[in-house]
Amino acid sequence: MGRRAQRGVALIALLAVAVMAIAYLLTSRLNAASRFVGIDRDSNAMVLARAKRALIGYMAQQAALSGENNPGHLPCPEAPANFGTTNEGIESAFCAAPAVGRLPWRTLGLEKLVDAAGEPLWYAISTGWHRPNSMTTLTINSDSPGQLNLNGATSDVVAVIIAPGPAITVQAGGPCAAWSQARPAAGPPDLRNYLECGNVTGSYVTSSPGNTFNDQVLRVSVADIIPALEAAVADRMQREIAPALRSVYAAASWGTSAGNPLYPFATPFANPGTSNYRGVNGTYQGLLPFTSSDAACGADPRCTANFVTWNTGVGPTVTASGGALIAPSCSFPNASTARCTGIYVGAGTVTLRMSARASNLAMALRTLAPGNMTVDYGLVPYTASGSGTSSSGTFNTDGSANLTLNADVPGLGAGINVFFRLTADLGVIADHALLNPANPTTGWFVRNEWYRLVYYAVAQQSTPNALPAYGCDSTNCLRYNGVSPPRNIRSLLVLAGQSLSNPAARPNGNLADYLEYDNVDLGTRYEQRPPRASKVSNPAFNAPFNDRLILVDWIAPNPTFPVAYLP
Amino acid sequence: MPRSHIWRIRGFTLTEMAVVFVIISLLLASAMYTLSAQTDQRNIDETRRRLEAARELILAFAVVNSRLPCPATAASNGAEAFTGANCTSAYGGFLPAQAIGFQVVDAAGFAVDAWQNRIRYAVSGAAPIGCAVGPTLPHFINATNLRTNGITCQPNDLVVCRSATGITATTCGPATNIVTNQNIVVALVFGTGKNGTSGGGGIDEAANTNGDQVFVWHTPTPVGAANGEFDDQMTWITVGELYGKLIAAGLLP
Repeated sequence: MGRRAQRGVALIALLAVAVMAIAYLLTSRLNAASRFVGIDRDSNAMVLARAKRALIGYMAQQAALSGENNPGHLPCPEAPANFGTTNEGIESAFCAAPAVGRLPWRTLGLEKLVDAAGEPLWYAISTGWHRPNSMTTLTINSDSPGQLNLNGATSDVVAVIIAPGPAITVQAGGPCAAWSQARPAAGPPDLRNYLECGNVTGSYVTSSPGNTFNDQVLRVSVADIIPALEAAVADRMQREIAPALRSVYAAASWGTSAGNPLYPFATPFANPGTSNYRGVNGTYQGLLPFTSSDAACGADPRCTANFVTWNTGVGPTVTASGGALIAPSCSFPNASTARCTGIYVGAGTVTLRMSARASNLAMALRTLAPGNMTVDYGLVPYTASGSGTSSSGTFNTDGSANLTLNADVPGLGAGINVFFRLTADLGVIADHALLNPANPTTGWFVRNEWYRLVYYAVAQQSTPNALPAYGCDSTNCLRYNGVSPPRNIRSLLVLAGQSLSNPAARPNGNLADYLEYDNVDLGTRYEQRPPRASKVSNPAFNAPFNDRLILVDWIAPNPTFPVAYLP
Repeated sequence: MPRSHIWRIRGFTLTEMAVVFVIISLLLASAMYTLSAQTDQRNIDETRRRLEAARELILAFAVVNSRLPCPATAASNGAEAFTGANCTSAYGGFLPAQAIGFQVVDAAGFAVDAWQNRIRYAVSGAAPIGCAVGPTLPHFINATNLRTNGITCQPNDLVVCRSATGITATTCGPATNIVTNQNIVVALVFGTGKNGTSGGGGIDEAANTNGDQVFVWHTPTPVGAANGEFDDQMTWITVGELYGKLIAAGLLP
């Protein structure tokens, strides 16, 4: 027995066991790190942050593109049908609420980002920030709130990006419904297999992981997204809104030109949510005179049919060229209609010319629509009708304008009397295209109510107030940024941006909540600084600051674009 | 006594020794195999971290300089390489470690991955599309032009494909082969993987080092796969990320 015990087989067996144990320990320790929740969450945080940055950047880049009618909208989640196919990662064109699904990584241009469990990210968007269908247009501007329910409260969150973590078994309790998660390879994916508890029902939670919850949620708030959107919108306003505004009253038919245009008066600044947006004579900065006479404008306080209307104390009168008039008679049958009747005699084409004065034209953005004037004529009253063909106008210093509307009618020869009747209702003074929410170039500005966040400034000398020798010069134009040599600016816009103190209190009538530093002092000098979002006021650094300048019109030397920021 | 003495010094038989050695070598081999796989995994993770760090450094460079850096070339030792105003090698260069301050470099100053292979870098150098004005070229690598041309400009060259099958010198070919579309990637950072020195021999890896604007990225494939071994690791910067970063820094629009 003693001899056998010394043969050492047991030692070899022991050695083998020890080697195996050490090998196991060695290999398992190498893997152990990844099991630590903290490291997983760190890694998820990096991936989520990258996704968030890509999402905001994508949104801003898209918003800057001409033709984007809903600037600021977020891409929909991956289309469920794309799950597991070669199209995975491509957004769904439209998404109804609740807009939740996998992050459209390919649309954003990312690689297929995965969390520490190897699972692609998920993503949910607040109502109002995603397009449910092709018919719905959104209203997104600096004051738009997030509406996602996060941690039990409706918050300023516009989207959440979620790392779903490994599949777990969810126990019933609280907001959690019992569910055993599985991750089938084929779609469409079931939400419950990836997200847990409140994240399934749309009450998103950012809480720590536990036995029945292992989602890691990153919020994308209004404050995250709006500065990027404002940059894109300011860029687009410079390209699309400034030229439209420049051309409103700059045409030979107004007696003006692109080289020396007139600008409407501003609306005194008041709560942009309730202002009537009517310009006031002698007001040179404030809100855009965005009052509309469009019947479709609805209950909006800026909409009224009879702000720009006939001045019934003057005229109307009628003259003719190419013929003669017999017993012309003109009147205003009502406040919104000018009418002239009589008899014309002539050979060939006779041009009937009605003149009348419109009030408040320079307090709004209007364009003449002579086609809306009707002319009835005939040997007996009236057998034929036509419409106006051309028009012109000249402004008066009080902002009214004398309008001339022309209509061509056929003369039947010398000595043959033809009855006529010219009727011009307020349709001949139509809203300028800039006010039209359906305009393909500028409609986004109206529909998304960006005009509520825009401060309009004009040099006094470039308004009708300075007639007849109007036009600002180096002594009285607006100035910006102290550039050298000084540029002479006829008109500019300031995009006020998000409230830096309390976004929830918008809209309000406090100009200091909209503009900062040099822009708020009611002077003629404006400034553009880099956006600074600090919560603490620091005049030494002009912080906080989020105004953006849009130069509408200037006198040579031209400003350099894009505008160089002050420090 | 003499007999028992003989027993004591007898030792193991050859057969016993052989069995023991076989067992030990088997155990060691399996342990070594696992260790080598673990080392590879570590190197892959480390390379991924370095690529991410490179990405962040490039974006940080963009914030400081208002532009993207040009790639380094074999002759520039980790410094940006310009020819006139353009990059000497927009699509076929290396990460400009010196310009962006990348820490892990080889003796010549090039950024390296965990296998000491040089990290490569490509930047959008062709004329962008969709610009509101101009564009004055070059766009992404020139601070003045980047700002003047504006944030509607989208890159129009770099593209990432699923495989090299069907690609051309400028596109991925069939739509099913596309990972990113042509108007989204402004810069691309990638490592050539463990087989970087020898080259994988497959057409997918070859597409990444041929100096054109078309790149291939997919999950790793072993030797013998249809398009050869593939172990390149890649990350890229989208135009939205770049503009978003520059907007946040107050440098755009």
